[in-house]
Amino acid sequence: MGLSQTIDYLSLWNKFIKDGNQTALSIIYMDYYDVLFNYGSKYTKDTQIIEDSIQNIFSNFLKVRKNLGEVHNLSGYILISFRRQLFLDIKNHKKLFLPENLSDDHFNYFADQEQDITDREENDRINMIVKRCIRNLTPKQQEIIYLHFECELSYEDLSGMFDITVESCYKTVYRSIKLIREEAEKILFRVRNN
Amino acid sequence: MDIELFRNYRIEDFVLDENFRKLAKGGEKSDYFLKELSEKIPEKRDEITLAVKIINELHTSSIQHNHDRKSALWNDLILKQKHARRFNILRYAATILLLVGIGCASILCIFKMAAPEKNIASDEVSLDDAALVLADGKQISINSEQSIIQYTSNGKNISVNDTVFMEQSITDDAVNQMITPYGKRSGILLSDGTKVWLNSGSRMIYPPVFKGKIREVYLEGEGYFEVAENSGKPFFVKTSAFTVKVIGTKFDVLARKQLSEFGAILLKGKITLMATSQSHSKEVTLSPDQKASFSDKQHNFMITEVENIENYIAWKDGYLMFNNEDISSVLKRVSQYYNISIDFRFKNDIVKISGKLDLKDDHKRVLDGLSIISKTKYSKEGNKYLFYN
Repeated sequence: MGLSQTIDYLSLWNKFIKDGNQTALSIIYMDYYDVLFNYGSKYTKDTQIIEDSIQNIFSNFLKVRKNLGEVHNLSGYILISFRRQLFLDIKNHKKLFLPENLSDDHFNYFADQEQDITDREENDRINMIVKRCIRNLTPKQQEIIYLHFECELSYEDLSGMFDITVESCYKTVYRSIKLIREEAEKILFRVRNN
Repeated sequence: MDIELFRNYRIEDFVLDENFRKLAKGGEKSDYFLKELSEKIPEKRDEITLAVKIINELHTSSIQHNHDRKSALWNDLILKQKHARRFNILRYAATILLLVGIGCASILCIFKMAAPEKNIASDEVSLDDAALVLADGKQISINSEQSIIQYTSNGKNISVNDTVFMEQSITDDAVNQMITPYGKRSGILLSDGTKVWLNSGSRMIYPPVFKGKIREVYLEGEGYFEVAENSGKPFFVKTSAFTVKVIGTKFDVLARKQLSEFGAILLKGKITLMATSQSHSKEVTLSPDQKASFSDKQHNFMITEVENIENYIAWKDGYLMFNNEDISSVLKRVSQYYNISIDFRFKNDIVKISGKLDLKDDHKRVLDGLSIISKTKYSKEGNKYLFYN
């Protein structure tokens, strides 16, 4: 993650909103860039679109600064804005290009990783298990897990973002991790018995 | 941190605990804490180890952009913001133009399918229209003054001038070719994100998608490159006389065999030029604002510092820039761009020309304009134009 634990991004954001301080926004931009880029690359391999979407939301922040309301959770706000923009940009891009392009525009947790399930050490069995369990989830479930673990979005943020209850957000996350644990134990148990 | 709470934790509880996750992801410092934690609650040691492994595996994001690139992008953003008002008007204008363009595509760009051209390496650029040759040999003629070719990242889908879309199937050794005749230009967005502008009377041969360990294109004529960063796959521009190894990122390559003009100008980043000749292994590395000229007779590079570097690549935006230059050198540049021969007989060569020359016009209007501002006359004799005063 590109985010620093010691920087208070929310107060930087408020500095930008209240005084139009561009330096404050530039720090947010620099630190969120990789977070957004990596999130976007779970949707599309077209890095140009991801880049454009990042530029678009920040340029929009600058444009409509005075009309922006109070934000309680900056990560949630920025990620949701970005997601909306990315969908829009992908849609517009599709209008211009053949629809076959970008047909893979659903969330894929391991989209930016090579598929390398070859002979693996015991240590890396966990890797396989995690991948297999996550891949078996729906794209939406994968996205919830990603946003929760990678981007530290709370269940409340996720609930608002996906229009589902906080409880079912929690359940989605909890069940997947439990499943991974069970699968992991099965295999580790077998190894130990051998 | 509440150690007592951890005593009742199962593996999934550790993974779901935000504070524990922060510990697990914290690098070197976290190893120490985790070790300490395992010692305090030894009965949970295996659970903690497995939970940390799962957390690490869930962590996938690997792309980190360097600081300079992000700074540049941010500056870009601010700059565009400043011109936002003007931009918006332009955008509306562009939209209207595009709509009109779709309505009368027959006027703006007429596409005709020509017979497949097998021999793509033929030596002459003789067509009047710009041409794009696809992997299967199919040739698309583009009858617009400037053509924009865009590839998607898989190299299969191509858009021409944002109005015509096509698809090609790709084999491992597939190549595409773009040919721009004299008096025309083209811009190509390659599948890796690299942008190339081809000047008039130029051609480039390139794979629709860059497989293998390097990216390589072949150029004749003149091209301006903005290479997309990918340190794992270096970019090479080959010409008949030398090869450019790209370390980054913005540069112009000149390889006009008929005129014996070979060289490169670097705007940003770093490039290395290597002579093709087998007997000599000459190479030079350029810094920004430097120009290398290659003499194909002596097999030597000469480096010079360049002022007003943007004048050299103004052609990509559709004009030529002159800075207090003699009318004769202006006419020479114009004759090169349109591939027409111009002779001049000036009694006194005192007129100096500065400013932009729009290349969108056909050569007759350009010559008319030049003759007016330089107070000279011209006449046409056979295939030649003669300027005099």
